[in-house]
Amino acid sequence: MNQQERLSEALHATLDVTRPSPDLADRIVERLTIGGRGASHLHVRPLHARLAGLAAAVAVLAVVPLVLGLRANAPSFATASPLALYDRGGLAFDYPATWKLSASLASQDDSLGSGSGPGQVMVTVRKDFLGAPWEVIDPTDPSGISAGESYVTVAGLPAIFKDSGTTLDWQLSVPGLLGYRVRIHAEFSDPGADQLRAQVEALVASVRYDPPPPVLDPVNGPSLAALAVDRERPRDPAFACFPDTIGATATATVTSLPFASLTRPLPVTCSIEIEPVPIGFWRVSLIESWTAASDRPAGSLTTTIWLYPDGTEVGLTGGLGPWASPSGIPYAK
Amino acid sequence: MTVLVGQVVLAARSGDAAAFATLVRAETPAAYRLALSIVRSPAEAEDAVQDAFLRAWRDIGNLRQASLWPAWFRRCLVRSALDQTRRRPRIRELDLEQAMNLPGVEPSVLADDRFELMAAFDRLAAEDRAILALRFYADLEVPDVAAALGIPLGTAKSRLHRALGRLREELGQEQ
Repeated sequence: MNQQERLSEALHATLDVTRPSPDLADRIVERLTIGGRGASHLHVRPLHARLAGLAAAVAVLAVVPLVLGLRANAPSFATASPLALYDRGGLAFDYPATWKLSASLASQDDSLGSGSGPGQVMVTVRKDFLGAPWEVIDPTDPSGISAGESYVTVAGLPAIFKDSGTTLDWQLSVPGLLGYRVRIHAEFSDPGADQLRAQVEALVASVRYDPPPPVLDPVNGPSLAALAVDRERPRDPAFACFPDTIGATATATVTSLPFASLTRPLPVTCSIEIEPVPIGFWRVSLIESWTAASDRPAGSLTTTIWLYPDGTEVGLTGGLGPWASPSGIPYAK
Repeated sequence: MTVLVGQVVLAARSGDAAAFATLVRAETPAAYRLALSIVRSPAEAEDAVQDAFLRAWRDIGNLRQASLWPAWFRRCLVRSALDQTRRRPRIRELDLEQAMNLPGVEPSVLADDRFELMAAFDRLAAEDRAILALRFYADLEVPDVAAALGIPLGTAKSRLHRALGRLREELGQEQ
């Protein structure tokens, strides 16, 4: 071992076991909250002048369903109070200007509303990173929702909604960000719960994304997918089995699957699919499937390449990497 | 497997404070260790990390591409760590005996030559420790070391050469 290798070994041995104070990150986040840049990114602008006419019109429209005892199909603000604009992290919506807004970087929640007592409403807005980039909201997937939840559309994108009476919860897609959801949680109580509910529904109905999600042209998909797979082939021999043509299949006997070697050769059928994801990505699915044999059940493994609209790679998920479970994969080391 | 850190960086760059908080929480341990290699004091290292994140949050709007975040933040961190060493008299809270008592480190694992090497490393100037740590602890190639220090490639090569020489001198004095 030369001196440079000894130095590297000594530095790693000495430093790798060190840890900062357990609360260091929290202290940093707290300090950012107090004096950081966050406040300058929280735009709360009264819209009195610009939206005065609109608010008046909305108020007139809102009166009708209230008189009839019906909930408005198209939510709108039920009072003539002026609106304020919440505009943060690419998400914007209108809310009654009489509500108070508080933002906290430490808790990652923004809260707004009239209060938490009887006859009051509180709404929290939180952007969560799920840690699982592949978990996009997909209305065709029944397993993506829990009991009491349903798929809805908010600002043109898939969302999840749960109505628990005096609490409402939405999970919104986030354009341009994989693995993120905006959670909107509202709590309100009598007296006036119906009106407060209408205000919350109007808030969600006013949600818009800035910038809006990009529109992907399906015509471009196959060529982008082919390029993406071409980029992966030199990095990992496991990608060699995939055909050049999207929609075609190829058979091969492989000794590795993406990100993992196998203990024995495995005959597989390989295919590629590509589809646009509404939040502005291409999802390229590389599927390897195998038939049952005496020492293995039939199965398949999907590795996903995520692409930006122009075909630039975002990253890979699936395969046998640390984000996937190797259960059911035969011969996995 | 590519973890989608770039997504979080993009969100933070757009002003998403929650995303930046995610970066802070994810990067603090590694940032602390690199800072500690330069300042050699836990308290100073924590101050350096905090200062680096404050700088990063202030300036992240200038980050051109999310993929440049690791190098860009490393530069913030190194600058903050070196500033710490200039700001105060040197404090040596992390000496070798303390290192031996760190959880998970068996004293027998620390061979004599490692003691000598780290003692010599500790006596170097902060700028020398920074360049050696970036090259031999962060395992960066020399162009990336140069970028982290904000110096030309040729300067980084010569400084690295000189730092190794001074480390040899320190070891020679000890022997």
